[in-house]
Amino acid sequence: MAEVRDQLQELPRLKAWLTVGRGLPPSGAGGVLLLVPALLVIAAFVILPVLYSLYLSLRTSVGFGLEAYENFFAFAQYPMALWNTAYFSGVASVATVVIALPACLYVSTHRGIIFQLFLGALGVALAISGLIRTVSWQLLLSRSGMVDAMAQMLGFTDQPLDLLYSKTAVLIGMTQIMLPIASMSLLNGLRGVDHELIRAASSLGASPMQALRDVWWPQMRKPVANALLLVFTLTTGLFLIPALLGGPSDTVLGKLILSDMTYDFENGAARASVSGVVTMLMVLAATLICLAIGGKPFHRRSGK
Amino acid sequence: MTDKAVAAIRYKNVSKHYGAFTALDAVSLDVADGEFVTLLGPSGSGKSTLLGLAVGSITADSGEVALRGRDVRNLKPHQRNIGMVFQRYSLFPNKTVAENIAYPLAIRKIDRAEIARRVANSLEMMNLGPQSHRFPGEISGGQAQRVAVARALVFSPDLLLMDEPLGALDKSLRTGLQEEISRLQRASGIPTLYVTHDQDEAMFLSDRIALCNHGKIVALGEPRELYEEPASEWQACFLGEANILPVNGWRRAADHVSVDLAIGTTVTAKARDMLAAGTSAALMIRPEYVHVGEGVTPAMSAVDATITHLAFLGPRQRVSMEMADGTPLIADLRPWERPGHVGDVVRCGWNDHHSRLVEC
Repeated sequence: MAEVRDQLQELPRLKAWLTVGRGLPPSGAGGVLLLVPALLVIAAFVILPVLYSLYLSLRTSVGFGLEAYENFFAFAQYPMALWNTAYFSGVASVATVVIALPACLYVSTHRGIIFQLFLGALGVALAISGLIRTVSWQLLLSRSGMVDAMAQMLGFTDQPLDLLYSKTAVLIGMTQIMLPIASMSLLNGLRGVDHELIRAASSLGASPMQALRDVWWPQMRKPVANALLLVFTLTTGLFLIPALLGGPSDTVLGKLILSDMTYDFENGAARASVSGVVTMLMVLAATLICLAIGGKPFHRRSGK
Repeated sequence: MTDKAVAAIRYKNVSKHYGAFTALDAVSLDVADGEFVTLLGPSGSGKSTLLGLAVGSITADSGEVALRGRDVRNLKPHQRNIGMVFQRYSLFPNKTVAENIAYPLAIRKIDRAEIARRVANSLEMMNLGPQSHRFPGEISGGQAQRVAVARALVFSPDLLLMDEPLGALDKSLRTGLQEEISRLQRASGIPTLYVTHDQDEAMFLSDRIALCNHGKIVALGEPRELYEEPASEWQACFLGEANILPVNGWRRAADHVSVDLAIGTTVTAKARDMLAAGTSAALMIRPEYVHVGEGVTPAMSAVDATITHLAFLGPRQRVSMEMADGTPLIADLRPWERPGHVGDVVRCGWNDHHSRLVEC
């Protein structure tokens, strides 16, 4: 326990999150009172707007009904944007976690300089504005950009790849933007992985594959699920990247919400609300999937 | 099935280096069938490296490690059939106590009824019945330790390795568990290699103790032999407490040695045959063999010393003294003896067959 706390010293941000819960008085009315401000803020800025957008999405010119939802599926651009959003978020979250996992696993077993360097690199990555990083991808992926030039120089292709303004470009951009965030989340979770358990399993006769299945994956599934969900949820709200790196057919729901709200508030509010509700349902579905991936907690207690 | 004449594990001239650091320097050791051998030494002496070689987490730079005659290089870690008890127990937190113990059996695809029977036996033998459906996070350190031992023994391994299994426990809890480990090991007859830096534990449990220092086994023998006949000052002081009296010179006589102590007295003592003439040496006497005042008989070798401290410890009392040249001398007396008071100059003596000339 003491060791875990020592390691947290090196993660000031995460330490702050984690110690908030532990620092509370053990129980009783006094401790619960500390939750009141947070609950009020959540009620005012999360729950009420959600309820209000539900209300807006169900209100029609004559009363209440599902008209806005019917319209949502009647216009081709909305289902397409819905599909795009799901596709971008889904692929980006899997890609991010797959790319970040090996490095985080390696770093999580180290302390000192390697760990500090990695955290520093993440900090720098986060400090550079996402807009700037997106724009640099625009330069890199353009017809005369570096990626094309390299690919042609190395002989992978003899004509321009035309990566910019495509789904691939959007995915590259999203994955890159999300990598440091996913790494933070993964690193925190993976610090709790006990690698000695693998040695224990192996000494008890488990082959490497069996040890992976019985000991390693059960420890990693929770952090992996958390990172997947984090990236998925955050990317559903990113509309700048598809706008800058994607083509006309790569619109996402966030972009439609923006234009609905900006150009035609009279009818747009209802449509935007429907998009919002649909996005919410999508995130809910992703949450359920990630709960399934996360499985039972690794450090278990029997229910009393 | 297994040949009893072949050592359970044999290390032959094994060396291991980490950069400039020598973890093991041409170490050889055999553990016979049914034997309990303890590797005792300070941290960094190479004792954990020896265990690592056996389980397969470390490979040797040179030399040979063989399990029942089979070279470990031909065996993957999970094929070695070695039970290992880790210092931090390494129980699986997502499995109950019973599931933890069943794991090595389940991996070996033993049928369910047989697993249930053996796990039940094991739980009963370790007094873990009430804990069988608890998770590792819900049991005490002592219980976790017993689960770890049960899990390592349940599949009847060819060899049991324990890496400071009692290191994380209270002193009072340790004694009970030492007895339990000893009882289980004798009952199962599984050869055991045990690592510790606690000398009492090593003496209590072992058939033989291997004293490790600087990547070498500096002494190997039964606890009594190592305690009573240490070869060097380091060994004498590492295993038990010892008075070390500086020596000016020594000569070998028929069956003893004649020793000139630095304070001027000449005494006779025992020495190993291996101690070569001219080696710089010191006289070693265990505190319990030093008599003070009335206890000194004319037949004993004797010196004068000033009492500097007296401590009553219950079963014994510790008398700290200083000889004329400043050499400290300690004596453990029976509780009823009256050695004198702090500041008194007293006569201290010992029987010659209790003092040994050791290399320093």
